[in-house]
Amino acid sequence: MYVYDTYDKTLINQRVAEFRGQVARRVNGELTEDQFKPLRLLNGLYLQLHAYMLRVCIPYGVLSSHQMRKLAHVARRYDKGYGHFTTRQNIQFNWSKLEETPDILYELAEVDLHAIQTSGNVIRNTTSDHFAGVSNDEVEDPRPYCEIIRQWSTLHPEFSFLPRKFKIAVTGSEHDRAAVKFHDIGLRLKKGANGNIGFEVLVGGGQGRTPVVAITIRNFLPKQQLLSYLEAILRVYNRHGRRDNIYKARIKILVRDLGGCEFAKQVEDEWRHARKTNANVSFEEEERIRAFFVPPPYHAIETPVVSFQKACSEDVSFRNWVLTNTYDHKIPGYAIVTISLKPHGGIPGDMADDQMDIVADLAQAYSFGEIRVTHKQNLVLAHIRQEDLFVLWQKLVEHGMGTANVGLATDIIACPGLDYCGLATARSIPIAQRISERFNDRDRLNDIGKISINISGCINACGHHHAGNIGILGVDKRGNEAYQITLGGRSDEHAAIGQIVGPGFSEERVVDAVENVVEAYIENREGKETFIETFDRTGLDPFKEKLYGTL
Amino acid sequence: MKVLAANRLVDGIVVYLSTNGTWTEHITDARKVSDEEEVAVLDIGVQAEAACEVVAPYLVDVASGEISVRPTRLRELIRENGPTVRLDLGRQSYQKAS
Repeated sequence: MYVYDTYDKTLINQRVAEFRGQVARRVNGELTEDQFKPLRLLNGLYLQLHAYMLRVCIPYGVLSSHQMRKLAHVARRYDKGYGHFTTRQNIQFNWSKLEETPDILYELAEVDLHAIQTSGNVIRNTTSDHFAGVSNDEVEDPRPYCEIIRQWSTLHPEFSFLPRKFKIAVTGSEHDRAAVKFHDIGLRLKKGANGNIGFEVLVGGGQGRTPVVAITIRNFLPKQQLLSYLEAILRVYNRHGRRDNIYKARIKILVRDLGGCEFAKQVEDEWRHARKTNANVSFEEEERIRAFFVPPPYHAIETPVVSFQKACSEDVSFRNWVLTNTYDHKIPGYAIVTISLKPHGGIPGDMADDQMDIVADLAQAYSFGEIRVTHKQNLVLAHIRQEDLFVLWQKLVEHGMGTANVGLATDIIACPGLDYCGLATARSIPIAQRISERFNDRDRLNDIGKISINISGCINACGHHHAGNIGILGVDKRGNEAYQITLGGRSDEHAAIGQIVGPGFSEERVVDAVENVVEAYIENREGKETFIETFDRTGLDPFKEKLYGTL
Repeated sequence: MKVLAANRLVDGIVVYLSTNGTWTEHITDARKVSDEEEVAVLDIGVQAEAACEVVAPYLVDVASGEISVRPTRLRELIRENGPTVRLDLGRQSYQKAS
């Protein structure tokens, strides 16, 4: 993984010192709240329902064991003993004290972590495939490009006051695990006709109150031209994006209003100028960054791994976990492990400080000291020897992290909702917990199979409900929580926005409604169809009938 | 009936304007604000923000009994007590303990 150099360290240390001064000036009254608010937001500090919330950036979701231990320390020393991993591959601490925030940031800077650009109308943390560099289906590792984008976009003077926040995602695989079609810019590494590798460039995706699937504006961009092309897109957006209406300020609205062809034409026109500048990184610099992402020193392992196969055959719980929580690795004898942060009935994405320490230790012992955070609010250990899987699983089980449910009905994505968030209109977490409890049966989970359930507590869609096979949106209906259900959303390479199935449900009835949707799937599926395959074949009708009676 | 709520500047904890003009963490000690008093009480909040005591003051609807004061909206109820999914956190944790 990338290691900060003197420039990076100087930058974040200076930022800590600057923020320490700003906090002091706020507390002694030199700064008013109106003056201070944009400054604290630039450092990831929000005022939420109960207290300040600090959002810490995890660049493209990659953490070292050392960094994870520091997050555990922050949770224990400065917060309430836990953190919340988000759908943006970041972590949030919900009970920060303003006076202590400079100390937190100082401690985070000691391990190259910070909260810069985790808020505000800037280019946010670039997100990526949590299996980057280890999956079989990858054209090229996207992380070096994420790092190049991170360096380019950090404190970029031209793009520090955009019309609205801006999110970029990069994937290196045909199978999209990074939801690139739901980002302001999505980049997909691909092979061109001549065998060279470049990017498919997509723009205008997003969720929120106006969900849009991104469109492709360039089928193939030589990868050396990445930054000048990004600069051209941002420049067109910065010039024409609306600043008069916060609800129409995202790039998706500009792309819609101009039309995809016209937007692409303007970007190409701008790019003719931009590519002549020095925006693109040199070959030497690209190679320097790429060197941080070379594969770790894997062992040569004889396969099949007998001890692993024996454990699978002898322990059914372990076998279930292997089937759901591990994924094929490109190196024979290794596996990719997803640690579920969705214990049955638990809070999606929450992790206790001692669990963070345990994962840090496990990563150090078994996975070259590297941990990834997924946008599905789970963690990944990307380099596990198959012979170590059984011991790893036992330790995860011992510490409440062995739930075998990745990709199943209880692997629910949920935003913090009205339990924490100042913007929320309804609670998300209790709904997730009740659904999790309702489906907490191994045979039933296996029978239902692959399905995604996403819950947002307001129209801002931080729980990505538009992209859930079953999406649940909490709203305030005359002072009561109500939940609208959408079906058919997905965030992979076949990205689709969920369709509203009908009138919403009360807080008491929404879990029954979800169960009815699942039953409608089981009644209507053909062969081994997954939920989304059945939905794509049948459309809404059988689900509507199950939920509301006759059509 | 309303009470004036805000977040304490230095730690963000939810506080209410009390009957004696200080800021309290306990809504039961909060000053009840009638319709006629709203503008004047909001001004107290603005002044407290300027004095670096609190941030983001606003009036919250409450139902008030003889000894109890309870926000009428779920959002404010959660804000007063703590997350409904973590009863060990927020005011509800130490109220329960005491």
